[in-house]
Amino acid sequence: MIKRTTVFIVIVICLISFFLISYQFKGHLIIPKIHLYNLISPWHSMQKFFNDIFYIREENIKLKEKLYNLILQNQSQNSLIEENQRLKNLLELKKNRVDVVTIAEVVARGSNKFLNTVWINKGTNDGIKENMPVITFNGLTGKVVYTTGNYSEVLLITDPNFSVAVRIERTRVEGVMTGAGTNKANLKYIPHDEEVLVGDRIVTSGLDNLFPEGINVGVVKKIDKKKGVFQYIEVIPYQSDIKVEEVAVIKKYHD
Amino acid sequence: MTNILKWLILIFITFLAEHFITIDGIHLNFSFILVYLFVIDYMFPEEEQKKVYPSEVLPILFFPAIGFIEDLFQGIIGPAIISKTISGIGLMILAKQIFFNWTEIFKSLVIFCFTIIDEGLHTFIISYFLNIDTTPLKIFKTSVLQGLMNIPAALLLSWRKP
Repeated sequence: MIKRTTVFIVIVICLISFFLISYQFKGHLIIPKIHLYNLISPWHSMQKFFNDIFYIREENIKLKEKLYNLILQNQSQNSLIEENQRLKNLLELKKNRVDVVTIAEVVARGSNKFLNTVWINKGTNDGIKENMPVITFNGLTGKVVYTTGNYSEVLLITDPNFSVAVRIERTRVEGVMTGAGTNKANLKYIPHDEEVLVGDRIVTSGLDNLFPEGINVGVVKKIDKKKGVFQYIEVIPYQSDIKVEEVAVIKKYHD
Repeated sequence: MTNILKWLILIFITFLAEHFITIDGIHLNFSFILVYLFVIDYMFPEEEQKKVYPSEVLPILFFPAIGFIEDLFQGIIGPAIISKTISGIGLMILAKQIFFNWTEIFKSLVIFCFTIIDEGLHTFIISYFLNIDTTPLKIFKTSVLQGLMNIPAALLLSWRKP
């Protein structure tokens, strides 16, 4: 068996670690995270250089950018038409314009095992800033949480630290959606007297001044009215975490 | 000196692989292989007469050090230090038992079980403090996958040892 001194040292190490963890979660101690991505960025730059030699790639990116803009314009126009009809032309709505900053490819999963993040191959050199929304053709994907010159880390919609102001498209009820840590998300702060149905579509409301209005977010999967003050609503995001390959980084709502 | 350099390179490559290799969005636990290799290397030296009864100081420094490096990449210091130290000590106790015959199957079983223990402890600490809504099925899937992936890698790296 092992010596008593060794057991004592192990206990001391564990206790110190527990104190360290507690201090960190209370915010008294912040230790900077190491990002290994910067180490291999020259390799990725070289790879990018050779890839970009092909003209067709560039054209493809431009076309996709145009397509994103058209889809987003279409979404916002649909939203405007619907709203106009409902208000019977009594209210004049502000123009909801969404600009694509850049198109990027997902190159790796985030290093943290417990955060749902991905790395994309565009950074501050391409105009990306922290907190910029990230979308795909399917809908909202996440937001930028960390940027370097050529790479950015994106916090995905299913992460518990992610939240976005949303509304139920059918009833226009406002709420906040947060990630659940798994491949689902939760819609919060919807009172019991509001009607929510399985299959209701969730879109961004723009009230957080971060995510533009009218972006598809997900669909209601499960409703439980027995839990707590508000309804417990489970949402399946349109964009699955695992299938994220190419994303568009867009400007913040009021940028 | 050569030995230290060998370990430094091994640690660097292991963490680089752990950082970038994912399966179905799941990160692998290659850092436990370092703990396993160290125990095998240290507790079963090639020249038996050199260390009749190996000291416990070096392992007790090595396990938390590996955990500390892992924690630096996660951004939270502590969880991996605890999990690597406890799983490493457990492995060391097992290695001290003379009645075990370290066949390839037994080694596979040890790697698999201790990887699960390491990942289980790490997940438990993180989910307790972060209050992450994770499911037992997801933890099970992650741990089993990590355990299975560690078996061939650790067996190859500790070929014919002990």
